[in-house]
Amino acid sequence: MVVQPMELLEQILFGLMIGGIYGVIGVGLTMIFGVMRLSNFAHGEFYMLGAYFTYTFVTLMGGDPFLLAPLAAVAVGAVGIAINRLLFKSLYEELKEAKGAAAFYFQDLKFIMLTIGLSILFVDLALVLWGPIPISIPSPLTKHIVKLPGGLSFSLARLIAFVVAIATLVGLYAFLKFTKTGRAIRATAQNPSAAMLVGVNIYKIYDITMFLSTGLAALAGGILGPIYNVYPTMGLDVVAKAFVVVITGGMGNVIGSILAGFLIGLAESLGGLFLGTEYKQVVAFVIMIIVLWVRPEGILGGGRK
Amino acid sequence: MLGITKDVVTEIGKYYLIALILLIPIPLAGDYVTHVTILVMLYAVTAASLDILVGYTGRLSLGHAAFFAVGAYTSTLLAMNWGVSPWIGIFLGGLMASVFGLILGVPSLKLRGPYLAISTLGFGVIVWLMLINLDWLTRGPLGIPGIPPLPGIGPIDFRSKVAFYYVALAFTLVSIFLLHLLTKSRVGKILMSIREDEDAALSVGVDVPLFKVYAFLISTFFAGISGGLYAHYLRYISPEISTLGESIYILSMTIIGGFGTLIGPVMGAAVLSLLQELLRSYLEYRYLIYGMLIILVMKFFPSGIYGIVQFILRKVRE
Repeated sequence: MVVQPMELLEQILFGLMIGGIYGVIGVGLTMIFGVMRLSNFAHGEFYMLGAYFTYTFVTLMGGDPFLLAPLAAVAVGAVGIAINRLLFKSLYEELKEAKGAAAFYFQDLKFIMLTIGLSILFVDLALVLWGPIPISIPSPLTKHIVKLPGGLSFSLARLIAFVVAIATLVGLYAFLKFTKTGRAIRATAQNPSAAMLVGVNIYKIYDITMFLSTGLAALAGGILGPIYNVYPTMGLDVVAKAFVVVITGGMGNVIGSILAGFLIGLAESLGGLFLGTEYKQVVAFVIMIIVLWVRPEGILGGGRK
Repeated sequence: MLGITKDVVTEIGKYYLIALILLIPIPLAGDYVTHVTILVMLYAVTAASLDILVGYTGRLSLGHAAFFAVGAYTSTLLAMNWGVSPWIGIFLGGLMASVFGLILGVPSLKLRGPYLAISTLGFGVIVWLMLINLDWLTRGPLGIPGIPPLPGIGPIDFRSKVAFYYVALAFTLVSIFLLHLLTKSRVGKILMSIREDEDAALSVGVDVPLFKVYAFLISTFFAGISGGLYAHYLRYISPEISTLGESIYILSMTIIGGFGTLIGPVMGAAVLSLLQELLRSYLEYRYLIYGMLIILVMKFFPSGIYGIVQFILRKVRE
């Protein structure tokens, strides 16, 4: 198969753009794992809700989805906090009491099943509220075409989505690194009981982490909504990939997830070009399998042995 | 060698005899009830086989539908392309599922928790994509219609639901009885020791990797056979039977039913299948209720339906 250099360049650009979005979704998932030691299988549904919330805000208030997506992210983040308090809080307490490998395994299973239930519930809720037909969030920016020398072109919406993703990741990194709350989150991730000893309210940290995690996923959904279709099961299509990103980057490792997001985005894009689009989905899993085989702690090392 | 005494066999055996007597008259209730019961039984064996991994060995799998599908496709393709009798094909389908179990089980030996969950999930997705994309073999997303039924024995024609019902019943009782014996055997206790504490099991000389592989082989074998029976019963299969949704459906039967009890997953299969049937008229609200149920059971009765039944029985006795 002959691949034109321009085609290759185009796929690299697309890969980097989608990689940024994978990074945003993956970072949220890895934070939940790093801080709470739990894997959230409903993570994709917050991404889906973000897209639908943005759509609803746009139809109700008018305005551009790129301006309203952060608002949707805050709203979904609030849903995240509510779920955290209603459903997950008792689990953290049980997890603290848990002793022995089997007890941890049962907690893991319980949480995975709980979030699977949540995911099924949200998908159907979206189906009931917004209907099964894929919609597209209207944005005038999708019609602006950016032309690059050499015949490359893509819509302004894609470029803005990419810029928003990068800005979000940089902002999150700065927040975790330099603010007091960010330090408290990192401390809780490292050692919850020690963090408590120095006066960190870990349940508040769990709330904040949940807010950030679900909000980031929702933001990704909101800014992708004008570019791709929005439909009830869109979260299911993305959650497996988000886990692949998280595992590849090392579970609980924020920077690792960001890098892995770009890596998987690029690899998928190029894989689609060279192997054909039908095997595009396999590429991510193959990378994950190789990483698990060669370096199980992830490319940058993870939180849990 | 397995450490099963005759007493254990007779002690467990009597429950299966009771179940047999209770289940024999089901076809009298008509074709619809017979059909639903057949599907419940096939799912029950699949969910119980998954329990060997999830409940007894402590190995979470989110890709069990893949093995069901491998069994179904193997038997179907053998029968349709090479004229292999489904009676043999179904058994070969179980073996093929075990081969796939080996392919997943060996590389994932060291993985735990979410790592294992995602790897099994990925494996399931890869099998699903293969079934969709290898269309010269599997006819792709269209699926395979016109699968031959189980060949009749003498005057018995297995195209009839009633006749097939008794094949499925025999298969179900024998399979779950064998799995039950396994859990009571020395092997079963070793598997449980791996679940309780892998490192401790290792330190007392248990060959942990070997037994983990055993668990995978046994579990996937029974899933594969169920898949084969399913194919020759419905006589149509498509890649839909191997989706992540199917895997989650089977896993939720195992966990909602009560994992690590074997009989719990059977109850889970019955309750969730019946729920699907009952909620059929609510169409779009069906999964809302289904998701809610999973959340409520996990939140308030993490020991599952089996736990609830035991709880009620204890109250009644008092």
